[in-house]
Amino acid sequence: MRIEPLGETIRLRPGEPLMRGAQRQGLSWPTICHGQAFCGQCWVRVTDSAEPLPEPDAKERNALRAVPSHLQGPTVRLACQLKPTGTITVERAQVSRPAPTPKPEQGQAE
Amino acid sequence: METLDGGARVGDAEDLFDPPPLKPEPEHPPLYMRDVLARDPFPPPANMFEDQQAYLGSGPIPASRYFSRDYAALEKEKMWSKVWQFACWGHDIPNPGDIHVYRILDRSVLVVRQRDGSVKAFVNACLHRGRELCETHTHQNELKCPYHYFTWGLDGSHKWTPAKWDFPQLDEKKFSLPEIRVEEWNGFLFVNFDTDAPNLASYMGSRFLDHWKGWDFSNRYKAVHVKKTINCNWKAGMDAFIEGFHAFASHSQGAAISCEDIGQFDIYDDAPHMSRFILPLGMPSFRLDPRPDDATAFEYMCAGFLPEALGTDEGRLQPGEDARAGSARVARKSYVKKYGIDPATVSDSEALDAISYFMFPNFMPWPTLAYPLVYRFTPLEDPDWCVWETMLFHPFTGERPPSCAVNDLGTDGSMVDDATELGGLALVLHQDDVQLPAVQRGMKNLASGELILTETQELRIRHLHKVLEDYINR
Repeated sequence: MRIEPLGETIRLRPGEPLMRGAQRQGLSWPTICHGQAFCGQCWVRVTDSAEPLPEPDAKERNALRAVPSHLQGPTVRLACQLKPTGTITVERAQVSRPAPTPKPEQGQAE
Repeated sequence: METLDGGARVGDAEDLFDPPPLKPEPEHPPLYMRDVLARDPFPPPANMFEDQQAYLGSGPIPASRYFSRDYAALEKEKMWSKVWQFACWGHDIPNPGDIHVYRILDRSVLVVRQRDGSVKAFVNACLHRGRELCETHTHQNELKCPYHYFTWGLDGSHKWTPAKWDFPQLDEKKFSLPEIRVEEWNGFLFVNFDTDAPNLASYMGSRFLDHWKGWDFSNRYKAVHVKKTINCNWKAGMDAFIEGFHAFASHSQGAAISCEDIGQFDIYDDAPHMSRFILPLGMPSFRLDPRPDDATAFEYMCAGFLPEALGTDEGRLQPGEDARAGSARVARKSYVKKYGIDPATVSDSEALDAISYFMFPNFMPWPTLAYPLVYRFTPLEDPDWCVWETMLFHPFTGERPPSCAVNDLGTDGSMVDDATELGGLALVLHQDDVQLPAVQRGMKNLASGELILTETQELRIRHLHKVLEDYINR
């Protein structure tokens, strides 16, 4: 999966939703409900897909209503629900790779 | 399938990973509503700076108050029979002979427009064998019992007795319908079963009346009225509408534009039946991580108020403008376009914010155009159920439009599919509709039997319980 404008490519596991795969690999993804298909904050715009995308189920369709109306559209999906079956490119400005947290220095053992 | 990782499958033990950490919660609110109001370029009415003037501690609330039949019986006997309660919008019965049937638990009241334009209210029962005189909202020339045709005038005076010869005991001069007290405020009609209660103005209190001096509803009409019977106690329903704390989780779609974590929650020792909140809009929540910038928050607000401005100069932040000021600008513009409102009368806060008043026990009016709402929760005999009503009062110019019909969703109707007249609010109410029955079920399971509440953000829930307990312990 390619994520723009961040410009990173990551690999998803079979059946793994986009956001979960991205978080597993250390990316920060906007969300409030963390995958419960409730908050709509994790929306992405799919700009390219090698395979046809699975249709949103009722749960995703419901939560898509929470995406601001001016951003809604047929290519907008919830990253916490979408499980692509092939190569896919998505767009979401607020996805980032946080700088690694510096490890605290090891104190000297007494 | 080249993008698919060949390792662990979703659901395998090795697939588990630590979810990303949540944004740390600050020790104090990062800002206070009064600071937001104070720096608004177009300042709000003075009353909005009258912030919380009473404190109700941090103790728990017994959960059983939300489902115990004994407690519901106390509410009925000690509270509902003593308080001024919102019966209907006066313009729902504009013409002589228009009748609204107000039901509360097992009581029913006829609210009747008189020939001289005044309003009277009567116990809704035939003095013969008790049949209800009217069952639903109606228009009648007289009040005639459908069972045997006993008849009273619209003013409650006795008019006709069938088989009069067979009622030797009946003194027709003393056979008027018993009246219930009814009074009007700002176009809304209130009834009270207690003949000894103070009048409505004293009940509401001078602070409430003063606050509302600038918020006249005489140019408003009832444009939307949606009713739903919902599986939760009336107080559980109320709770969700007198705090903003649940909005971040339950109504997350608003987090980029609303900042309820710094909202103002007001109760006053000198106004025992009233509470208020002011929740700021046009600012992203401090709990969002990452917190959207001003341009994004403004874009979302502009899309809501003035979508046609998106992509134009008007739809961009002006030099020196933050998201809140820009949002107030487009909100005011939309009120001019939609309602012909003079923009010089609408402060930034009134243009944007969620401002909600509560007049105990069943009247929740929102004064401004940002959310021209009235909510009401009415208990049913089973404390696990209540009726939830949402009304929208829009401004008009020229001739007053008639009140809309009530859209009754019953128990199963959907706010998003069956109440589209609610517009953007439908999703918010749908989300509450999903939460509330689960709240009602879960409260019965609490091991502690107690609800814990925040001191500030859920202050109005504490206040609701305090006023209720004051009545019950009288």
